[in-house]
Amino acid sequence: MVYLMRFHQRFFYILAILLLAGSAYWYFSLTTHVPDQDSWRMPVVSVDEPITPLPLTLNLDPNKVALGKRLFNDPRLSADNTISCASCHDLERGGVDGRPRALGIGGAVGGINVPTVFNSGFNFRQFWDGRAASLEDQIDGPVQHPKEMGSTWPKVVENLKGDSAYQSDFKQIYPEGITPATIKDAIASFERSLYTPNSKFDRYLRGEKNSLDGEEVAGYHLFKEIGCIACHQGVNVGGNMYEKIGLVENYFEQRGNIEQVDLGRFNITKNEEHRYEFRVPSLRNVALTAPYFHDASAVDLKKAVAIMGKFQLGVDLKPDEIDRIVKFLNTLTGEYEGRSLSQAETTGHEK
Amino acid sequence: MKRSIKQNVWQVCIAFAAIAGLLVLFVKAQAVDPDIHNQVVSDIVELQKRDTELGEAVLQLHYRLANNYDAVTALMQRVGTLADRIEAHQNKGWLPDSPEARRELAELRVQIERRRNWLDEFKSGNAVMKNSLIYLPSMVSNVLALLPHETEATLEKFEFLLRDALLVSVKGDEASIAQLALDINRAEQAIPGLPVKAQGVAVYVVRHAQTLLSVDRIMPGLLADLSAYKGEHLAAGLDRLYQAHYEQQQRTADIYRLFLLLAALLMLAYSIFVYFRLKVQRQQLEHALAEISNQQHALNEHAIVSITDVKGNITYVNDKFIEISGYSTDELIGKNHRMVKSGEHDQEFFRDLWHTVANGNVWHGQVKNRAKNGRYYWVEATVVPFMDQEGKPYQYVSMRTDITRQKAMELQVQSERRLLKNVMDTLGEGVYMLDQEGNCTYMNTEAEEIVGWTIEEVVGRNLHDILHAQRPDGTRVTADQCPIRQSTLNKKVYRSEAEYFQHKNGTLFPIAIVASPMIEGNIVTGSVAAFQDISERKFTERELLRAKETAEAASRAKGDFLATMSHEIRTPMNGIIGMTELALDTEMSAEQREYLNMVKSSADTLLNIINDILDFSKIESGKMELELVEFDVRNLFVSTEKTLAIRAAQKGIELLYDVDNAIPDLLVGDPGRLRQVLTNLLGNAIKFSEHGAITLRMKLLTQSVEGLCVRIEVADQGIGIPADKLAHIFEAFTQADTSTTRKYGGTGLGLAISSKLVAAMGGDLSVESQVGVGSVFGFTVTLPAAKNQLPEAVCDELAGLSVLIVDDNATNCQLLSQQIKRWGMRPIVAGSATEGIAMLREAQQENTPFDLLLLDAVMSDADGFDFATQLQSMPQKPAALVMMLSSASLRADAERCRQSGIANYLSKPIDRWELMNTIKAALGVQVEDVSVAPAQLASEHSLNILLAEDNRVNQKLAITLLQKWGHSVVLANNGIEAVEHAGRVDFDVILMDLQMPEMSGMEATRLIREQDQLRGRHSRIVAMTANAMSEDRQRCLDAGMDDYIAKPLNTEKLRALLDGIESADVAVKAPVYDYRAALNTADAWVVETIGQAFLDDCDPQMAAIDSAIKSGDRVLLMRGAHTLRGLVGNFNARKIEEISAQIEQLANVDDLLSASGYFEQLQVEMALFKSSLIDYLENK
Repeated sequence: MVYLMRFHQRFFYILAILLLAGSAYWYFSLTTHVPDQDSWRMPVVSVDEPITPLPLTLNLDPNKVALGKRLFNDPRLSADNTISCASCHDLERGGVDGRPRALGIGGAVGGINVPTVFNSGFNFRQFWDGRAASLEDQIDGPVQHPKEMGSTWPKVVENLKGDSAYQSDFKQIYPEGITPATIKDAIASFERSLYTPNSKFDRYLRGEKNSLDGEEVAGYHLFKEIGCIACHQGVNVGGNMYEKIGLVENYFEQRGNIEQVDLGRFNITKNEEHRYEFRVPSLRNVALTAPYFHDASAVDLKKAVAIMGKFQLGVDLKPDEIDRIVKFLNTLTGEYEGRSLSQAETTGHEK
Repeated sequence: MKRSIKQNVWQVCIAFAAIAGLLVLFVKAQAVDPDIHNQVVSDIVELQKRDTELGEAVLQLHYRLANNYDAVTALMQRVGTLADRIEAHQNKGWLPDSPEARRELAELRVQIERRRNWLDEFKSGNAVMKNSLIYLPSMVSNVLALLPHETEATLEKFEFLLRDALLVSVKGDEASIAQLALDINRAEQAIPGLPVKAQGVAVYVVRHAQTLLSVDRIMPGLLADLSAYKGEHLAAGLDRLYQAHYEQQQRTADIYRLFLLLAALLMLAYSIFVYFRLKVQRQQLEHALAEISNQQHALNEHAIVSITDVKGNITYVNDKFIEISGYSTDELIGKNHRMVKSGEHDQEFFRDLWHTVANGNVWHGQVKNRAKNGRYYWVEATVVPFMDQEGKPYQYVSMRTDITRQKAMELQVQSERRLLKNVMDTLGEGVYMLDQEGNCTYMNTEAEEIVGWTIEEVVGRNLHDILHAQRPDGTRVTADQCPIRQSTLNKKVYRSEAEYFQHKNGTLFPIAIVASPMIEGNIVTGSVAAFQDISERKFTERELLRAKETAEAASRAKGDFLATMSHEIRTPMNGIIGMTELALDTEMSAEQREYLNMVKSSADTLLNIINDILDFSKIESGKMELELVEFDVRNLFVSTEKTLAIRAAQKGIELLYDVDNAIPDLLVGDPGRLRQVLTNLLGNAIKFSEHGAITLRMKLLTQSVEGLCVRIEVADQGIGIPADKLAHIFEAFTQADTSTTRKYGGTGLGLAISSKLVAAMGGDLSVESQVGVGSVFGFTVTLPAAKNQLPEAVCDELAGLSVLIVDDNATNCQLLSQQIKRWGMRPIVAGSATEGIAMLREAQQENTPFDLLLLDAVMSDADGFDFATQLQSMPQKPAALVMMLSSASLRADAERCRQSGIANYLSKPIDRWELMNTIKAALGVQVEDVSVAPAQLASEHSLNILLAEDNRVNQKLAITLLQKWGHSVVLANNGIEAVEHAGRVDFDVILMDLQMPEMSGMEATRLIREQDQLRGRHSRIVAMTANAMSEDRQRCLDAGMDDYIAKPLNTEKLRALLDGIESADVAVKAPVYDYRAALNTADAWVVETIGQAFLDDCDPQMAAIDSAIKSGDRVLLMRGAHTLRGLVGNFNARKIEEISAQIEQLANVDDLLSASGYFEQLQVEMALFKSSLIDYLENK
């Protein structure tokens, strides 16, 4: 019957129908629409111990994690398609490369010791100087750093768009497809999935008092006594505050050869108070992430502990105390994908 | 088209505007998405909340109620995230974009940044502080342990240092910090004075204290900041702004929503309206569709429809198309239309077709197509192009009707027309066709030749004006007067041979023309005529006419001659025969008698010959007419035979007659002529037979409405006729043999005449004959039966009586037997006398005698009379006896009968009436005397007869006869005398001869009739004429005669005639004038006064008139009659008045003779009047 109408009649007729439909939809959408809830919860604050165990599970989108994983390991994020995130943040090596300095594209040597990617989601800021507020923001650094991946986002997007699998996968998860934001979102999702629960210490904290032996417990007590706990606390055993290195004694004076990176937070804030201030690193899986400190000056944990005691606490630690603390520090190695990272370290290839 | 495009554009614009408007409304009606609203509100609220929590968490830290920095760090991050989100909301426009809002937001960010920085500071300072506070006491105690010998003052420095450090960490106010700084200074100064072992530790103590101090210096500020934090208020301000904004948005949205609702309602209403209108439209459309479908169906039922695209490829065909073309739908769809091309039409034809339709015009035409099976068919086609929006055709629809039949008929008509033209051109007659106005539409070549004009010269012009406008006498005839035209206009065919046409060269020529109107429906649409030039024929006709007239004149002359001669011949014959008869009636010697008999027979013969010749002539000239009168057929036969009976008996031959029983008594025909024929045939039969019997027979063949078809035969046992002569026997003047003539005599005309007479009756006289055996002459005629037949003569007295017939003639026996049976009697036949005797004896023995015996007088084995005598001796003889006599010896036998005492006898041939009467007489039954005895001559009454005859002999003859019969006769010698006498005396009958000098019988009759009229009577006038032709008779009757008798006078006929006339005194008188009645009507006083005087004066008056007549005094007569007239007028005696007036008139013209006649009547009338008057006067 519609065909019988004149044009304007038809038009109004259709419009009326549309209006009716639209109103219905609207009405229904009011009642049935589920608001987008941003679920944020306060982290558990334990009164008993300053260190809290890692959560056993995290609610992450598996698709994003999987995609992020592929991207994390994809060297096409670099200019010459040789360097991927995993190149420096090797999951088999405790999330670091084991080198004092990173190697970027074309064999370029980086300026600072690579911090571990494991449990990086629990750090309040990223980079030694805390310039990145989030994991997503952090990705901008290495991708675009001339001495690291040396690429640009357009190039990366182009590279990735060339891959039909990425096209379809991205399209499935992100309606907007392959964009820097979605790439970062995917990689960050993956990085957040790199949490290592069920370390011996975590188990001890959860109530399994048998997880630690006497020495390790003594080491933990010592860790607290001498004041390491003042900075290395929280769920990530650090990573949630800034602190000056060389609190009691001047660290750089003794080490000498001060570089730009040594200035730390000062590079960002230009505030004198923030000279030599760095983000307090996480001590989880610290047994696997030698060398230590931003300048990789400590080759092993013993040395690192000794330096920390002297410069931060003004204490000369006795060797047995150091041993005990080191023993404690070893209990902070967790599991990834059900497997202890220490096994991976030992079974992983030796560099 | 253009208008619709404009309309479309207009409509489209409206539509777009409406859409745009609605969209605008719709968009504007969007209140802030509740989700967004919730988001913003919740974010702001959460910001406030988290900020508060952050403050609390910091306090907790400060007062060492928290173990680690996770909580504050997380809260700080959350606040930062929330602030970012709110900023994002602002960027998306979810928050108002006012300068206020922007300021609030900027302020918020600033505050948050400050918080963050402060927190970072706090966290780092707090850590240091915590550690230092842990270390400082132990370190101080270590130092003090290492300083056993030092002064109290020195020790106090370190103790006070520790104490103040702790204070600072507790109080953290300016004073404490200042004090600690002092303490650190004093301690530091004291270090060099310390033992070396303690110096290292002391340094550490100082360092820790310094670290603590540096941190402590900041802390108050931080704490002050904490208390000064206004984040809560800021977020509230934003919140307020947002709420206000939100509410306003809602309000705006509400208004738009309202408009939208209204618009929606409007559209809904419109849609509903449209819907209902559409419903109606749909119904109309459906109806129209159904109509169209029906029409299409109807069209499809009649028309052959096909649709093609612009290239001519078929896209649709209807059933009729398939039917007529023989192709199926599949074979047609998609193919080009030229697949049905027949080859009849040339390229030009189709080019024209395409050209017409391609330009958007409808094409009509007739097309010949070819069906699948090769059959050709013609169609009347209409091709209609359908145009699209741009005015170009997009398909062609063809509708056709099958006209193959019509076309075939057309062709046939054309060929027939050609044929017709050929025929007309070959006719040999001129043919032309006119339209309604009389203008020529066609003329054939023959017509052209006849009239000299060519068809081109006359077509379209009025043909009458060209050809028929002039009559031979020069008068002009207009088209309207033209009889041909008038006739055809009246829808009648006009035939004429009297018309004349005018040739181109001006000459007139006669034509024979037949003109027929051409009628269609009921209207004359024109005429068609065929004509011939008949000049030659007319000429021939005229010649023929002349010849005919000549011949007719000759014939008439011949007829007149015949009539005259007939009269001239018959008159003297009449005299001869009549006189001779009279003489024979007188006394004379035997010798004289013998001589006179010879004379008479010679005269009779001669008369017969004359009659024959005249008859023959009459018949030859065709002047004979047959009568149609009723006659008794049996009577005719008997009487005819009776006239010849004597001759036959003399030769020993029996005359028999046999009429079929089924034939009634009375038939209608001409008995006279029949008698003539029969007499001739019978006469011949007698003449040429020596023995045996001659039978006259009438058989009924068939009966129909016209009458009885009877066969009349005369069979004899005579000499017969040889076969070769049979054919010529009916020819005039031939006899079978010239010797026959010598032996038998005769004129040779008899059979010829008979044959012609029979032919005139509608029969055909034929003969069968065998030499030596006999002949049978016969003919078949159809005679109607008379309407009223004679009643059957049944006699009760005769019923059941037994009759013995004794006769040796088997035929006669049979005839008698039949007749006896008809009368209810029981006949027994005996073929001879011997047999008869035997039967009588038998009867006698059985005691059953016969009641009646019919006995033949002459039998082969016995004489009848002897038989009769023998009978006498028989006991128980039949009661009655009737003797049958032969004609030959009638007289002698009659004498013998009387002598034998046989009272009852008959002569053969037997008349059945005679038989009946004789039987009755024999049996003693009363007999009616039906017939008149021929022998009587005495008349019963005497008549007054006027005889008008000029011939002296005939006069004498007639007078003698009449006077012999007892009548009184007055003679007139001519017509004049006859009139005179008739005028004076009333005769019972006037015998008027037609051929008389001075005045003919006719003229005399006329005059007598005039007299009759005056006198009020009717004279019986009988014509006597030798002219026996029937038209003469008719002329006599027409002239006023009452009857007619032929000359020579037949005595019997005359007798019969006269017998039929009653005498004057018993004749019906003419009506008498009633004078008494007249007197009653007259003036009584007058009558009484002058009545007697008149009576006294009457006789002298009459005597005066009489003497005037006798003396021939005209004047006196006039005066007398005039006076009388006046006188009788008083008495209303009209009759006398009239007569007197007549006399006066006659006297005036000096016709005293006639006047005297009237006078006699006057006398009679006067006598009557006088008696009436006397009576009247006596009885007044």
